[in-house]
Amino acid sequence: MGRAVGTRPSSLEQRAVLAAAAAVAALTVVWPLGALVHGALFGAASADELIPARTWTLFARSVALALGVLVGTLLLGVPAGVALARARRGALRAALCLHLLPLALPPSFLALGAAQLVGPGSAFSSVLLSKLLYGPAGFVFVMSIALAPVVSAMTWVGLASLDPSLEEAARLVASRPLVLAKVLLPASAPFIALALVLVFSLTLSELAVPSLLRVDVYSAAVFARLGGFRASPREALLVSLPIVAVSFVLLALAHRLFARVAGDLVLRRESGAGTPLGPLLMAHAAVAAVLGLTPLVALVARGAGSFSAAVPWLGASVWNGLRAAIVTALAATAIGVPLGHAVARGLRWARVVDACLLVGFFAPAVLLALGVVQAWNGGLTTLAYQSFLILPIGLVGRYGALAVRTFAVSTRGVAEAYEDAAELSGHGYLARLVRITVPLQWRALLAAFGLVLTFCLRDVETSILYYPPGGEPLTVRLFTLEANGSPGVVCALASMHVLATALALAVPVWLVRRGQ
Amino acid sequence: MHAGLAALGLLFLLFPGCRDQSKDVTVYTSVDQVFAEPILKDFARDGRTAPRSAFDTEETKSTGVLNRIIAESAHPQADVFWSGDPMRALVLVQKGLAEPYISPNAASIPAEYKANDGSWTGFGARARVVLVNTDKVPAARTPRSVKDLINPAFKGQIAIANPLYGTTTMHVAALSRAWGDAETRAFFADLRKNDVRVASSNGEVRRLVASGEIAFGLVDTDDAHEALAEKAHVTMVFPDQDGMGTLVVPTAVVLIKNGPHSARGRELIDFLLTPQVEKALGERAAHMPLRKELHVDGVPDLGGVRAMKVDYAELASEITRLEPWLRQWAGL
Repeated sequence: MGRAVGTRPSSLEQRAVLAAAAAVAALTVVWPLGALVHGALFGAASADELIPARTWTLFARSVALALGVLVGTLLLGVPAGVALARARRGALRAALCLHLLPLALPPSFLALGAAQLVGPGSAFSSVLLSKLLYGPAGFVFVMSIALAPVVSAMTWVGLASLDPSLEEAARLVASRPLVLAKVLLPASAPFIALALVLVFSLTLSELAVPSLLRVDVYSAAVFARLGGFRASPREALLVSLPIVAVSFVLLALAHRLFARVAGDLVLRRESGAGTPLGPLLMAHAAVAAVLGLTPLVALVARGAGSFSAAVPWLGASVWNGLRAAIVTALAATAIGVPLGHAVARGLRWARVVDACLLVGFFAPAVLLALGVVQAWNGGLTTLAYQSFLILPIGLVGRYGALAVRTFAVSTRGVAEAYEDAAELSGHGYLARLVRITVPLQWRALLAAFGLVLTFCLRDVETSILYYPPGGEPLTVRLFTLEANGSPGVVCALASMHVLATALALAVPVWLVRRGQ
Repeated sequence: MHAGLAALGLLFLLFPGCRDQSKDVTVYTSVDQVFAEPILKDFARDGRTAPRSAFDTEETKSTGVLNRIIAESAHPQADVFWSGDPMRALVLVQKGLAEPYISPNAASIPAEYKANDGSWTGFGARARVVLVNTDKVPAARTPRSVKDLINPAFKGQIAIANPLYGTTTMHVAALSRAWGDAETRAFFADLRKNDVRVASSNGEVRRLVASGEIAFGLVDTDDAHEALAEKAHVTMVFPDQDGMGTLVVPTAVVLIKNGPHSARGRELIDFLLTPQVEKALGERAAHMPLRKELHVDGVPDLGGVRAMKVDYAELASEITRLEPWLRQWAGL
């Protein structure tokens, strides 16, 4: 039996560690957003218009597009997730895992790849296809294949968490498809719902894909107030209020779903694996995988002849991006362990810090980025602002919540008795954290690291506003070169990014498999 | 042992972030990276350190880094702003963020393309042109004026870049000064009626015209030259040559007030204003030299183009006034 859940840190050690983690959250989220709000409220910027009617229309349109993406990701992601959970280890699962690759890439890469296939002057160019791609349908399609892996992955995890006896009992009275539809998927619903919350949030804040595909969306209206000729952070803040309101709803939803998911999550690695895939499911999963990979193949094919021409344009951008992503992932994991552990053990104080980090994740990226500029450029922090460190600082604010949440979910699945026993034998907080909590959850640790790494490697919208001069990551460089760069060179650079990302992510995956 | 290795790895990750940048000149530029970067690299050839650069995206052309300079104004990080047009440079001048500097190399630049006090200096220019797909538009119907964009015969076959960003913004301001408010707004309303395609950038308009998806659109000379170099079936028309002329858009450099390395910033400005750089900009990016004595093969001489008579400072004020309406027009 575990001890009663405490709501306050139990020792000085724990207080110090949590205070350090809280300081990171304060410096990367609270301070930047606070500086922005302060500047907007008391700054000299003019706000001669409130949110006009047309902006509400745009908001409704963006929400409708995001709902379309939800449907698309459900249709593509759930069957692929089921197939992933059911597939035997080996070639089939490896092939299905490729379907997850687009998640690690900026969605604009998929838009660029799709344009190589059906856009003007391309292999399958046609006026109809081009009109479809450069419009709302194209946006929904590209975002669906970009974000379907979120749903697939969560469906996979959800199914892997189910008690096999549940399925076995249902199989006694019903066919396999019926068991899947009536028992297994409903039981995985919290996982899928959580994935949809993430999809909705990521779609609402996406900027590069709509601008490439010429679709008017709400995030562009916010950006127009910051990137337009007459920049006004105050107007941007006002215009972003509806997104902030939706973000808070999402935040509350995410909070509840995380709690549900954490309660259910006991990974049974072999649960359901190896169950035969029906032909329909197989075909559906194959379509999902092919749809996600085809634009990337088109990208690589278009860039194939230009790799040598692209090399001089790389500069240090691959290293810049990789370094920022690794440092961010390390920092986020470092705060994720104590904070996630404290959140799981019910410490109120940690929950407040966790909520701040979630605000950083759900708030519009451009606002957080502008806040970083306002907060960090000046005084003692100027040195950090001028160096590459400013990239990890902003990225921790944006993606730190993912590490905390991953570790919190995992910690809830570990009995407190281990920690109690260690405490009784005189081990302090840090010793318990390092010798018990972390070793028991090393997979969650790697997952948190990998998740943050993935999101950092695909990030454009946060870092584009404040990257240090000469220190831009490749994703940003691609965005700035895309304008008048040769399409072959741009595609070759994008292909190199795909390769670098795949290699970077292979390391944590390999470590997990080695550990298994 | 493991902890030691991890500490070493972390040091390796962090070390380059702490390198001495005290001598690096920093330039923010809205000139296309594909053209600007090789020129900035040339700066380093004479034993100097290469500038640290921040570039704009096409979608936010000229405004992303401009707004970054404004956001950083309390503690400037840039030494030089190399703008794709003089209007954005003048915004910095009007906000008191520019340090006047008369470069000795600016002497041969015509007076209308630079400020008397040296607060901004123009060089290598582009002009606004109509890019026409010759497969879709017979020679006899080739547009000759900006107003051909509202010809109903081409309904749904025309494009402009988002007027909130890039040189299109400046073009709108110039048209507004030339035509007045009412006529400009009527023109843009007619553009909507004519189902104008609003592309994310001039580069996107170029792609649309070159592929034949639309008949013609407004771009800059460098975009048009790129389409011509790709052997697309297009022709470039300087509009209104028998009327008000077309808008000429020189690039412009500004020394940032209180920049961290002003002396090095002046050095960079001197370099950018050399005839060699203006020529290189012509050769690489089809920018027209402002110096009359310079000629670049394949690039029209500025003397042969009728230019709109504009006061660039007035355009900067004009666009500030027009932007809310433009946002409304763009649906943002």
